[in-house]
Order: sequence, then structure tokens, then C-alpha cells
Amino acid sequence: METIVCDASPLISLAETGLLNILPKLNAKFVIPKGVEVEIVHKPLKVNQFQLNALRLNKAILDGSITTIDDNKVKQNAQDILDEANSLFQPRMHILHRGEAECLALLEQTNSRTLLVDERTTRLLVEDPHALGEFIQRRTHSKAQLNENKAESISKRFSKINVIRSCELAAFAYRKGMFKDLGNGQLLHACLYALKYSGCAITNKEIKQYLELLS
Amino acid sequence: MILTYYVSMKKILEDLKKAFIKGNTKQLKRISNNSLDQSVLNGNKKLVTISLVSYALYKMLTKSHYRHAEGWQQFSKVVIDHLERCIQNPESIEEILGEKLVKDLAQMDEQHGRFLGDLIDKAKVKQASRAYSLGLSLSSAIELTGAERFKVYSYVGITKIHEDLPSKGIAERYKYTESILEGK
Repeated sequence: METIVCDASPLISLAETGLLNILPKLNAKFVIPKGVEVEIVHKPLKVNQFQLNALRLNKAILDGSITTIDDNKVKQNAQDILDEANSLFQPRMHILHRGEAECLALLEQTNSRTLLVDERTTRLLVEDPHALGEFIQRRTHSKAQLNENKAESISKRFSKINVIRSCELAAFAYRKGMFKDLGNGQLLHACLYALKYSGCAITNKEIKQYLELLS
Repeated sequence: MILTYYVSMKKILEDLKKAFIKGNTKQLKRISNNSLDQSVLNGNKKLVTISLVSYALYKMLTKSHYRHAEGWQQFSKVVIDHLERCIQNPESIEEILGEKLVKDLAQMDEQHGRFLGDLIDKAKVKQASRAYSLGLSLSSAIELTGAERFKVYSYVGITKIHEDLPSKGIAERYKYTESILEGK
């Protein structure tokens, strides 16, 4: 069974869209570092507007659909990843946060190869730090300059990691008929757009490609 | 994106005060965005505070129910006074703008606003989204601005930020997903 390390972003997207219940039906173990549990459960539990989602996510942790790993080595390694990623540009930009760095450290710690993340920057950092460099240089009008050596080192460090998003899980679940109770008509279209509007970094073009591929 | 570097904190505050007195909403918005852009590059929290306050003031000035509200004149005097004190001592930005002015804004908003959740919260979400669009990860953008995570995700989802992304394509990503979930 594949171990999939999850960032906060896809779990929030799945909770927001009522799709969290696909996780126990999938043949994978979904794990999170302690820092992500804090962000998706403990903090939103204190905010009226987000309590319900926090409770849904907490239930997924309690029933074992998501497993939290609290490991000091992960925290130490996360600091190293944070230092490396956040010196990718001159001037030094804090592009990565501790929670995302903990996910990457947990991948290394558990020898996993799959990262579930919906937000764009971590995905690009893992898949193609040079493309992230070009993107940020373009967005900041070249005020941030990429350190090519760092980009190369990050590229090597994460070369075995594959990134998937909540929309990939939803597409697979759809293909396997896990949403049959909702009818089949526009279901894939509805799921993918719901995830997009909940923050998943998927483009309209990619949704169109999914509909062509799987409908 | 406009990325204009301010030479000094004092200059930004003077521009902010001038724009507020003149009711120049475009300039207030520009100051908010420029301050945020600069803070993305240098992590300066004072610039984030200036950005959020400028954004909230810009929003207030564009809504007549704030400007015509009883107490607006008094509120304006308090804003100008706070800004003046910060110009004299920019080190006090977080104490005066980040705490006192934010409190005054929240009070004004509670009395005369039409939505739950105050303008500073909205400013945090808006500017977190901007920081993300410049390249920070979502969590970094949330940490920089202090915005609510769930609100930022929903807000980013309805923007066009993700339309402008390099990606390796659906076929490859889906094929990999299928292979791991089917144990191939």
C-alpha cells in the first residue's frame, strides 16, 4: 500500500467539498506531520466559521483515514529544508512555510515518493525549481533572482518525489464509481470545479483535459 | 504587478496620510499593494501592517455608509493622529497602526459595516492572495499576513491565479495516481 504524505491544502479542499469520505476507500495510507494537524484541526476549531470542517478532519484522523506522525527528526529535517528552499532567491524570500517543509521532511523520513499538495509553490518547488524560479522572477519583475546552484541542489534532493492533487484523487474515485450514489451526469465536472474553487491549483484547461480523458 | 520600492518607512507613511486626507482611494490601494509586494521580498512585518491598514482605509473611503456615518469626522481625526505619530516614530508602526488603529477600524466597522468579519480580516485575505500570486507558498502568504487559512483557500480558488501555471499535464499525473492506487 502506497504511503501518501498530505499537505494541509488538499485535505481542506476535500473537507470543504464533502469529498473527504473517499480517503478510506482508496488503497493508500494518508499521513500528515503534526504541524499540518495543527493547521487543519486545532486552529480552525477556534473559529466559528470553520469549526465544522475542523471536526470533519478531526474525525478522519480519529477513524484512521488520516494518520498523524509526530517525529522530532521530521521537525529537525524540516528546518534544513526550510533553510534550503528559502535561500533559493536573492533577496532571501520565505517562499516555503514550516508546515510544507515538514511534509517534505516526512517524505524523506518515511521513504515515501508521493506528496499530496494542492497549492502551487510547493508543487513547483518539488517538480521543477527552475520553473518556479522563472515564475517568481517574472512576477517580481526580476527583483528576486534565482540562485541556480540552490535550484540544482533542490532539484536533485526531491527528484524521486511525485506530486498529486486532490483533483487526481477525485478523478480516480470517479473513474472507480465511488460517487455512483450522486448519479453520473456532470459529476466529474462538478467535483473538479468544486475543488478548484476550494483552492486546488488546477487550471480550466486541465479540467477540460480531465473531462476528455475520463468522461 | 507593480513592484515599487519605497526608500523609507517615513515616506510611505507620509504618502498614506496625504492620500487619506485627500480621499485618494487609488493611491491608498497602490500604497497597500506596493507595501505588500515589498514585504514579500524582505519579510518586513511593518510593511504588512501598512498594507493592511491602507487597504481597509481604501475600502472605507469607497463606501458611503462609512463616510456618511455619524462619527466619521472623529474617526478621521484619530486615523490622521495615529499616522502622524508613526511618521514621528516609524518604530511604533506595529503598536500604533497594528494594534490601536486596527482596533479603531474594527469598532467603526462593527458599528457601520454591513458584513460579519471586519475589513482588516478581508484585507488579510486579499493581500495573502496577492503574496501567493507573487510566489510565496499559500502557508507562507498566510503567515505573512495573518489571514484565516480556510478563507484564503476559497478566495484563491475564485481568482485567476492558478490559470497562469506551468504544469506537467493531466495524462502523466493521472497515470501516476492510477498506478499507485491500483498498486501497479
